[in-house]
Amino acid sequence: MLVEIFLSTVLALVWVGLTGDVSLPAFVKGLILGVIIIHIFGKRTLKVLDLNIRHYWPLVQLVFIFMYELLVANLTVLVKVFSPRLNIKPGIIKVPIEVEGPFWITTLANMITLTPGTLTVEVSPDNKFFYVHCLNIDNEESIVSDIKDTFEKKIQEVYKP
Amino acid sequence: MALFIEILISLLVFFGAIFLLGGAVGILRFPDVYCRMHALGKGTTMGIICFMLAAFIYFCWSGVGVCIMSLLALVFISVSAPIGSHMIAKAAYHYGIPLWQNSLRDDLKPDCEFISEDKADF
Repeated sequence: MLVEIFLSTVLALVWVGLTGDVSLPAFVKGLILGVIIIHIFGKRTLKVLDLNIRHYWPLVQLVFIFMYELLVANLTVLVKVFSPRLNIKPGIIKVPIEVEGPFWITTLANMITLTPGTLTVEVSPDNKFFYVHCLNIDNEESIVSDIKDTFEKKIQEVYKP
Repeated sequence: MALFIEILISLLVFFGAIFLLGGAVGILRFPDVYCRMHALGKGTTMGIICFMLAAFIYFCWSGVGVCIMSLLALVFISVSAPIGSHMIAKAAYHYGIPLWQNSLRDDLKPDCEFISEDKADF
């Protein structure tokens, strides 16, 4: 019940933001729409989401690590794009993952996609491996250890008890 | 103070434009669809984040509505852009588009049939 109230408030705030009309009537309108949407789609979505955030500090750290990596990723790709000779050695490698739950696997896949030289192509059916396309697979160990040590560890800190 | 903010906004717009240009050039220069997705997914996300931050700062004093709207656009784009490039790469792989001839490895190939059979009933 608490989660549903929270989610409908968030939806109302998004409604206020998207219409650009910051007033009480707009908020109430958004709240009514939010309650209706949560009532229709809520059960399924909440089950899929399966959110159990235990620690908030690692979550904040995760956001900042992510932004830093995004900046580095962009500079790396920019250098590669504008270098006169195309210096890439692409390939698909298999990376074992330990994160559990659909929401966290999605988060990890998105983070891998937005970090330097890596792009998630496929997830194995048993959710144990990612198939990651890399721009430069010379240093395969460092790519795998990057994913495991920075993102995976932080994500596990967020949801593990 | 106003001058400082103007310089900040100009810098954000400038770097946003550079990132978007990088994405566009990357699409032309990289050899196959998977490498192109690298340039597209990262470059455009960062470019649009820079633009939205610039819009946020510019409209901070005049219109709260536009201000919140640009923040929301920032969040939605940074959440949905990687999903888009992931799905394009995945669809391309299962459609059978080959990797670039100089690619060094393909770990997905031995497991590919297994995966598409397993997911056929979705």
